[in-house]
Amino acid sequence: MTQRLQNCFSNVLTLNKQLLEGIAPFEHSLLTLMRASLDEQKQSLERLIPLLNNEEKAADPSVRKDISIVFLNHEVSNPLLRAWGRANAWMDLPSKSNFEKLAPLLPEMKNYLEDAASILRQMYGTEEIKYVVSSYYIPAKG
Amino acid sequence: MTWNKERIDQNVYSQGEVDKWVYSTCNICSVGCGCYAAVKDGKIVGIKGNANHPINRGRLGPKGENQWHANNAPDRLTTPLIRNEEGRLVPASWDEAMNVIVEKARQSLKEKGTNSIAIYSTGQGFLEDYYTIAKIGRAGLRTHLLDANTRLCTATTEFCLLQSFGADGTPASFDDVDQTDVLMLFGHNLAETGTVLFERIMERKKQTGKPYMIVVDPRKTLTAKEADLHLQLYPGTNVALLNGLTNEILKNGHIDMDFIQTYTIGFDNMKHSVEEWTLEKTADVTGISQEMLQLAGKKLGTASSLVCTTLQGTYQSADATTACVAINNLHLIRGMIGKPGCGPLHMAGQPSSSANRTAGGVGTYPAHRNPTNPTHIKEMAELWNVEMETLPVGPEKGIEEQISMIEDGEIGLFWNIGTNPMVSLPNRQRAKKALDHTFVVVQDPFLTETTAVADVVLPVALWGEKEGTMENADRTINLLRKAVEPPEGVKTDFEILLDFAKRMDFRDKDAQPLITYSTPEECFEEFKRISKGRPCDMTGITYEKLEKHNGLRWPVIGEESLGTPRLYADFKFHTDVEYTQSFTKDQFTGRALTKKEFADKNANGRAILHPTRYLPPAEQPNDAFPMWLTTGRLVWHWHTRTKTGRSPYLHVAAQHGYVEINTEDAKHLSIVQGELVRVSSPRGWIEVPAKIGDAVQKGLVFVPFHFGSWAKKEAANELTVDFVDPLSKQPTFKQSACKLEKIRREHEVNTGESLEFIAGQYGLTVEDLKAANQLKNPYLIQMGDVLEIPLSIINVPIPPYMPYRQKI
Repeated sequence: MTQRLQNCFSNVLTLNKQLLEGIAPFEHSLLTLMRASLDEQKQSLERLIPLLNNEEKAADPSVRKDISIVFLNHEVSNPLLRAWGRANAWMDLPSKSNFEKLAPLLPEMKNYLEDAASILRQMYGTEEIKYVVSSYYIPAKG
Repeated sequence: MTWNKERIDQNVYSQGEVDKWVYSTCNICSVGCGCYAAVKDGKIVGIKGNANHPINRGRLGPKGENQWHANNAPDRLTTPLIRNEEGRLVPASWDEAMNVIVEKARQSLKEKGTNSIAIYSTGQGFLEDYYTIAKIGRAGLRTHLLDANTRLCTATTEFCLLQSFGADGTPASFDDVDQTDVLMLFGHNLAETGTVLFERIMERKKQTGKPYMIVVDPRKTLTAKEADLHLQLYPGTNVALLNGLTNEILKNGHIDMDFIQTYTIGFDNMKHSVEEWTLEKTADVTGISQEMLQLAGKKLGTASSLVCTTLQGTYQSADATTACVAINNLHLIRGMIGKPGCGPLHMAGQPSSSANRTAGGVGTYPAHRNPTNPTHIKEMAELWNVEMETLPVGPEKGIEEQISMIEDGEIGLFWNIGTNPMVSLPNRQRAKKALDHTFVVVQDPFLTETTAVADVVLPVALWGEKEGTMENADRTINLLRKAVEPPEGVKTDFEILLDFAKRMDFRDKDAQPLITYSTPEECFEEFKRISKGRPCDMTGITYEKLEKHNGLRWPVIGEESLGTPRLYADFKFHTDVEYTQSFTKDQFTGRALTKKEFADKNANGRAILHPTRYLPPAEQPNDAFPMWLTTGRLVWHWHTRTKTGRSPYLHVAAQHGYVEINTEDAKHLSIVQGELVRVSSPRGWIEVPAKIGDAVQKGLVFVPFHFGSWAKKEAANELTVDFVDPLSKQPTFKQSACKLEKIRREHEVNTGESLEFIAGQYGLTVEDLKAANQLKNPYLIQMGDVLEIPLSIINVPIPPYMPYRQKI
């Protein structure tokens, strides 16, 4: 189970890095916030992914904390990316075409996070998972 | 209390003597003035101030004096409406309307899940309504989507208080305003948004010379004109200013180190975050001179008592929560909290937005309970007698997030109560497009711009037609007695919510009805039990006691208590991990902290100093849109004028929208006074007359947000940006980019035509025509010259308030 979880979060990390690389050339207040959020997400992912190799280490409380931080930062950066999209359109920014390429990445990240949430629900139980992962990522059924 | 004597303001229109005066509270702004409703032959015919109420001693503001006209407006809705297949709203019975809503709710829950129903309420309702929304929403519908128009006006109040003190509840009160030596009104145009409180301050100032008033506002408002020191900063630089002032205070050593070390955590990080903000840098970014900054720093740093207030200039600006936290930081490092005349007084805009937060209709669980703490969830489950597993865990989603969810097809029912988002939401065209694509219920006394997108409309009672309590800006719970029956066919919000709960058959874990109370007073009694032991403990309040003592400021613990003038007198803050209302957020990104992260801070009853990082607004002027746009209120109207637009007096005082332009900008663009101009932003455009003067600084324009009819193009929120503060998710109405364009026709000068003749042809003065064409010499026009003729000149007088009272 932790192997599957590790795969989910590895995919999330790949997308995280693509986003960070994609926004790197640009300056905008919304991106400053997004960068800070994605950087923190990246640090949490880099800490927890290696630990998911091992069932015992995966149960460590610090893993649970980092898992929460990964989800919480997606919750922060997703609306920021959409806002940046609007900013690009409104002010005809030079980053417009870059936004269009990056736009699908956070929804794709959400899919992996939902998969991860599904696995986490099996690991932690239906009640406990609510205090680790936002309910917007926990599938209603299954 | 400052008032030396009472003054009973009244506004009555009655043929014959009034039959009775009924105890009430003003339902307009957040000051919470006591009043009586005048009743004659079963109708409300006027209002007078309550001479014994400590907040106002009989005084009322212009909107308060005139709010009762709406009760008798001929266009009151008296029957529910349902939109038929042809797209028209047609009368329906209550059963028909409620059944449609219930069916839609069940369908939405089944097809889209529990987070598919949103209840979007108001800051003008009653605590009892909000508590019922909380119970229905969380224990009945099990949704996270409980929000209100308070998101647009004072969500930031809640979040800054959670960040610094661990719980909602503004620390200072109006009593502290009466006693303070220095008062800073930060983004708070009190002269036009809380006239009675402003009069209270100015009356004391006239008598004693105190307080020293610092006003921070990019506009030269009526409030700024009375200031001892007006800091007219560039738009979007609140945190830059506060960082500079804090750094100055730190540099000068004007801090209470004992207090900091004993009662706070986080000092070093906070100090580090402001170190770069020298006077020079601050002056450069804010546009305020170093001398003025030094003076402000000195006044704030050496005051023996200090109160800072905030309102929309802070809350609706970039870095909103960070600015308010910076103010909290200032009070904490100076030890100016919990003592007479000291404390931050983060205001509310609406008469009862605070109650919505306290009762849990928005934000966290009722009575300041933490939605991410299993201990608090368990408590709520026990109090409501429901299974813990059924209660939603985690914070709410604000209205702008809900708009995105609607765009993604995730919301099946949007229930709008007592608010007009089609005028008040930023970037309103986007919001309209979203609401056009979901099922919308609108609960309102009148047809509004929002009923244009409604599928069901429910007619509701107004002020004076229902009973309940409200919470004002300084934690005072006030009572409103019912003066008259609502018109036949009309119900109260409370009755509708109870009916919905019954029809949905919401039950507790013993299969008993979830809601057992049937009157507002019974509901209040239940809420009291919920509040026991929490920061807003109201166990010592009863309706009778509220009327007897003219309002009580929570907490009111026990029968003998008459309330609490200020919080944290013992310097114990609500930051123990199992008690705190929130585990707080990252001060910069707004990322919620986990319980473990919060526990690791070891705040344990100490206040939290946060680093305050400046981030410029997300939208700024550029070549295409070279002006700043800000929006705001007028003294004569309340929000979208659903109530005040129906007062003849208020309507005449301010009949239409306008754009306020700086004299130099107008000259540069050759715009004349009253000329119809087009204001455009990347989102849309409006056409309104120009009001030229020096209230706005160069490069900034102001448009009042009250006027939003679909039939005209004058809605400020056609233009505004819908970015939000990272912590409070409050939209940043105050900083958008725009451009101004003249709307002119051309006139080719014919033989023998003088400027005077031409001006007369178009109903203009010669001066206006000269200014419009930047003509220095009127005799130099020649045949064939093309003159620009303003399309329309509309008088925009907007009288100042208090024309018949001497300037204080």
